[in-house]
Amino acid sequence: MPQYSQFQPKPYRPRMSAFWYFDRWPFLLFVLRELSSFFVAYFAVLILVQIYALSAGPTAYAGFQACLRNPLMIILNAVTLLFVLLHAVTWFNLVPRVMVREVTGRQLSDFLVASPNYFVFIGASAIVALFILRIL
Amino acid sequence: MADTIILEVARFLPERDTEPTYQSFEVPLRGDWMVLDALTYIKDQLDGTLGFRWSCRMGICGSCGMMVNGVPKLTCETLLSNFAPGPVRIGPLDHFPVIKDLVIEMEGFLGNLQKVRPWIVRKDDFKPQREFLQTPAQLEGFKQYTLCINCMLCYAACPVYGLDPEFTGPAAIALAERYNLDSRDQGAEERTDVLSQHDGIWDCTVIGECSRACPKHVDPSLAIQQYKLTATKEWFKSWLLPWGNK
Amino acid sequence: MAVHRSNRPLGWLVFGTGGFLVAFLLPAQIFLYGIAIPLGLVPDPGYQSTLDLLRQPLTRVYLFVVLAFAFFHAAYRMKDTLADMLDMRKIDIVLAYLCYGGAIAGTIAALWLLWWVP
Repeated sequence: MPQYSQFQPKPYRPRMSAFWYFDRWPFLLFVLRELSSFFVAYFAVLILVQIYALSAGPTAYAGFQACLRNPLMIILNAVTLLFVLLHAVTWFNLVPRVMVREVTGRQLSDFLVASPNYFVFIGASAIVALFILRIL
Repeated sequence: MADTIILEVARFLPERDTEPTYQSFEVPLRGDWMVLDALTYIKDQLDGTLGFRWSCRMGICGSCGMMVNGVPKLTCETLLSNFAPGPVRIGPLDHFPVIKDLVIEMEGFLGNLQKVRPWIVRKDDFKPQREFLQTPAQLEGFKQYTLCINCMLCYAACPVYGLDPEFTGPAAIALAERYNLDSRDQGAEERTDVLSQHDGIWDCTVIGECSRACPKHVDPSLAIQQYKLTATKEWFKSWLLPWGNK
Repeated sequence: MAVHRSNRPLGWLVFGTGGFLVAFLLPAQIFLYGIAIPLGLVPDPGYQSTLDLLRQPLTRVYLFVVLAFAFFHAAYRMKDTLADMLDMRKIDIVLAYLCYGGAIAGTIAALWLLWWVP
């Protein structure tokens, strides 16, 4: 603020509402995208539990699998999948745009930059699936 | 189409009020009117005490930015009829102190802008005898960022700036990038010292609203993320080659 | 220059790498282990077969890399999200210790569990 303001009326200083992300749809989408991190952390912990159960023996693993068949767990994991997919789509569309200038020296069209990610995603998912289902 | 529309305009008189209130005005709804024309109509015909900034009426001076139904817009290029049947809510730009009605205090923004040294910085005594030659590719590298008109819509769109006024903010970082990428400039290092600080680029959480709000398609969000990449490279260089950087 | 020593670039680089790993690799894992196998949409490979997969050194290296990056990716974002959503930017250093502490704990747990697979 400039010096002369001491003799001027006080301006109104707005404060942001604590729930600012409900104000507009883009803000809500942003917060949902950021919340995906909690689901990423949850699923990473679930993988840790799975590794522990596998190491502990068939009975422990059967118990772990029975727990996963609980409808509440299936709903939780479905929500997790939706959040991680939201992360993936926003990531694929945004991050390569940031990197392309470093790689090619110039900015390419957004479509050209984003689309290869989806092919890599399909390929990577297929390979992971083949390993998990023990086909490979 | 109805022939009038209601405008709810933020009113704030610092001598009298502690916070803004909204006052309704009924104005003619004309197909060729921008929101700014409606505000001018109010000031001329209905209430001469209404305060708002404007100058060029053609989207280049960057004075008439306001919140129109909660979205930062240049009112001189926002069609009033898009909001029919109304009402339309007009407020001062978000996240800035309000001086009067729709007029905001922009010192905070100007301070941030000055910190990033948005001009050509030379280390040597730069007195060119003729034109400084640049290739089209060099120009293309920074041209997009020269289109910024300092209208502050990106600041009003940025929740991070609202939460933390110390944040350098979209336009200032995009303008820093404009000069960093200019082949005449030698000030990138000085700007890194400002931008790589906690309140510089690292506060940005990539909401992307600044780029959507920008009336000149500058894409400050992309500039900030690309600058994070540059700063990260510099960071690794300073670790790996400590003798390279002083 | 001192400002270059700010540790944000390191956290951001790990966040970015982790973001790609999570986006490319986790959805298939969540869908199969979390939804498809429990619902019986695909045949369950069974205990022994899954354990054999886990015994492969390459699987364990893969899981360690994905888990470590996923934890640190999540920590970076959780810190910023908590600060923005709950207006806790004033105490974001506390949030950073909490989130990164969790990420370090998760990474050590992953290393430990993967090391001791029978």
